Amino acid sequence: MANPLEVVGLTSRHAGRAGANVAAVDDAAAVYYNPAGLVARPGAELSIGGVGARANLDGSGSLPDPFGVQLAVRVPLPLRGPAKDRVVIGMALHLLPSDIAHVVAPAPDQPYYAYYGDRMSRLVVMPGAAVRFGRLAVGASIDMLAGVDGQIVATEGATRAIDSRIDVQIPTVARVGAGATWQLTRCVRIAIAYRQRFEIPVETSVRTLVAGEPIDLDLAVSGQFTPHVVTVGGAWERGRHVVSLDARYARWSDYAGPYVRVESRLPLVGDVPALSPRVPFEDTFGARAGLESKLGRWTARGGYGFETSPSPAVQAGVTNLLDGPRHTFAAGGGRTFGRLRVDAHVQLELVGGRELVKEVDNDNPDPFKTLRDEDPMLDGVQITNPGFPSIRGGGHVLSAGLTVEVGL
Amino acid sequence: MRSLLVLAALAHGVAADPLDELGFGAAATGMANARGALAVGAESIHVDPSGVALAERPEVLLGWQIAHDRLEINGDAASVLDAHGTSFGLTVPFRIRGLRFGAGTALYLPDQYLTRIQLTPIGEPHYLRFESATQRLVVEPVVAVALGDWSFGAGASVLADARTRDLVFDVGVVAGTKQGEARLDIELPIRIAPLLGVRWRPSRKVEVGMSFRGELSLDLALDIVANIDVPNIVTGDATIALRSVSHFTPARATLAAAFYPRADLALTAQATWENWSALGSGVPDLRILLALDIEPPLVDSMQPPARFHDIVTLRAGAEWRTRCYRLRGGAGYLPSPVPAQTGLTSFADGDRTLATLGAGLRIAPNAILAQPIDLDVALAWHHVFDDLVRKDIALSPGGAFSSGGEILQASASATVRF
Repeated sequence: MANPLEVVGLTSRHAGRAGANVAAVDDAAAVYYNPAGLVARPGAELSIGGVGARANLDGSGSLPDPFGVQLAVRVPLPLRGPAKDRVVIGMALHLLPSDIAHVVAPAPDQPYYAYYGDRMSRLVVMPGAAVRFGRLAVGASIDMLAGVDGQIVATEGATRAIDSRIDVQIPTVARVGAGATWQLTRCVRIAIAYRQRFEIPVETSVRTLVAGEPIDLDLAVSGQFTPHVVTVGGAWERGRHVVSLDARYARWSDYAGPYVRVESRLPLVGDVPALSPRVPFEDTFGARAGLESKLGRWTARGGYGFETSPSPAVQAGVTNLLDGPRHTFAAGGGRTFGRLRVDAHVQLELVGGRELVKEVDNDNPDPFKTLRDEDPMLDGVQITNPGFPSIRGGGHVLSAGLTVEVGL
Repeated sequence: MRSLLVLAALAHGVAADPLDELGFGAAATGMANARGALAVGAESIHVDPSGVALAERPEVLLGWQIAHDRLEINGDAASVLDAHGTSFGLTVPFRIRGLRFGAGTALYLPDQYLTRIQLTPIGEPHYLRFESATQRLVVEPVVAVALGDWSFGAGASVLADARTRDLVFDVGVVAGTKQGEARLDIELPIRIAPLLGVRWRPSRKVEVGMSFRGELSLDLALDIVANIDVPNIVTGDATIALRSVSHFTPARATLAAAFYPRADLALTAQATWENWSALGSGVPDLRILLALDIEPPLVDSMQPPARFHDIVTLRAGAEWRTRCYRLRGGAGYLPSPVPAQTGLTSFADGDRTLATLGAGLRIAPNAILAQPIDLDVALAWHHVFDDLVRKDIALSPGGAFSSGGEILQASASATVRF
């Protein structure tokens, strides 16, 4: 799932294992990785940390909002007897220094990485809860944010002054995550987690009638898209060592694309159809593996992950989506000080190189399949697409973070 | 041919903080929100953050409330949405070198929208203060420290603006076909108002509290640029710019006192000053400059200053408590900051009286429960006095409108300790 936590992880303890946590997670970060993990062990804790990322991706600028503050907390309900430590609630936050969210929709011909895009640029508020029944634990969380939906109507009044009526709503957007774990043996736990598709809908309708001329603009875009994701995994824990392995599927084929859809009427121009290419995004598959070893008060960890690209490898038309397959390498360590633990990590995502070669066909109306000459009346090819005749993508994203965890 | 269109809207919506209207938790609603010197733990985050340091254990407050408006304009129901939403508060007390500290966060989440911005044409009578008063998110993180008989709290009330950094629509011709494409960059930057509180307990029977909250608003800035390049037809730019300031929440200072004549009885009183005069204009302001060779040129709309005045609200409450039960009552007088609407604007408003009732049940620790849980419910009734506004005959001959009505509230909450 591509939100800030997918790019940089939640807490250094888990980012240092490359996110291979669906069965291994057993602390407050379970709200994000697998809510059932909230109840994996007794206790309550609060984690506070910071994380930053730096991108070097061909054809695209740096990541917006590369820094975030993270907070995760977990407490069992105050129950006694057989219910003690079996019902746990938690919350995870990823806070940006200056924004709640930042929605970016590029022009269709702009070189762009659909996976990264504006992913780093949103607040994450994720409450969750879990219950344990013997070896089975189940949990759920909610991923909350807001969209923008509204209408602006302006018309001339009797005196030619403008009367306006504005109704802009920022509706709540809430999507569900759920998970289950099964303690197979004393050392082995298996798990499954699901996260519902998430997006921030931005829709603005402007209706104006000025001097008898209509100026209408209806804008719609889905920002911060994250697909349905299913992850299954297992964790083996014995003594001082934990080994975890995850496999995941993300349903990107539902994605309509990052582009703005516009319907408009402009003075002297009339109706203008929007150029909004339909991109056949592809479902992605990935695998992650993590290892953690304790050496006295010290802990060392590392991990590796791979995921296929959601963007099609052939884009001969207007779009320049440059995502390639991603390889993730992570390493980290930590030390305990009584009830306090300090963890740090570094993570490198290598984005595979990809070359998009354009084709020109003035008879093909599909803007995704081919380019068209912008002025066929002139000699030569008149195309300003920055990807023409070809464009190459690839690069890396480096992130690092520090987390302090205190037992409550 | 070049066309240039500039459309600029400046609009205002005003409202108190939703939790000032609804109360944070049913205990507050049941005492007309007059718990500034009484609240401790999670329920104190909003009314006086210094109370966060006085909690004994971590607390979670979870509540739900609804306000049903029965307001009228000219005898007909006014189009004011019922408000309902969920309150959530979390406080964690801790000690460092013997000093008592506390940290917490209060959230109010409207069920329908995180925020709604509604702006109505200038001459249309409407309840400016109630239309969207409770239609916004509230986020208030705080910290506090207790030093002997004193406690001090500080935090922030957090909101967000909404603005475009880039929203461009390019219209051109590709292969002889008129076609448009767009790019968009919208951000929701954070806005912050300070929250401060201090509590003093000079004796076992008296507590005094003071709190302050800064001014807050939600600014909306949408700039839409259409670059038009259709050869032989029209070439130029069209810019639509919208500016609005919504959810203006005035700065306020509160003085509160609690008196305990008996161990099982608390009497409270509270006065709050609200700085409504800082509101610049309470009306939508829309200006258009249209350079399309149109005669005569368009006229800007009138922007009279709002001239709202500062107000002092008065509230009082009582709570009778036994080991397991609580009964609460409260009353308040809330004057209107809106001046007589004899001119162009038509803000419906009026002084309000407020009466409340509440009850609570404390479930003591038992074989299953390790810590007590408080369950509270409350009802509130606001009466907005009837008013008949007659317009200045020079500005609006024969113009008049009437307003008034009721607002009914219900609230339920649970406080869980860990």
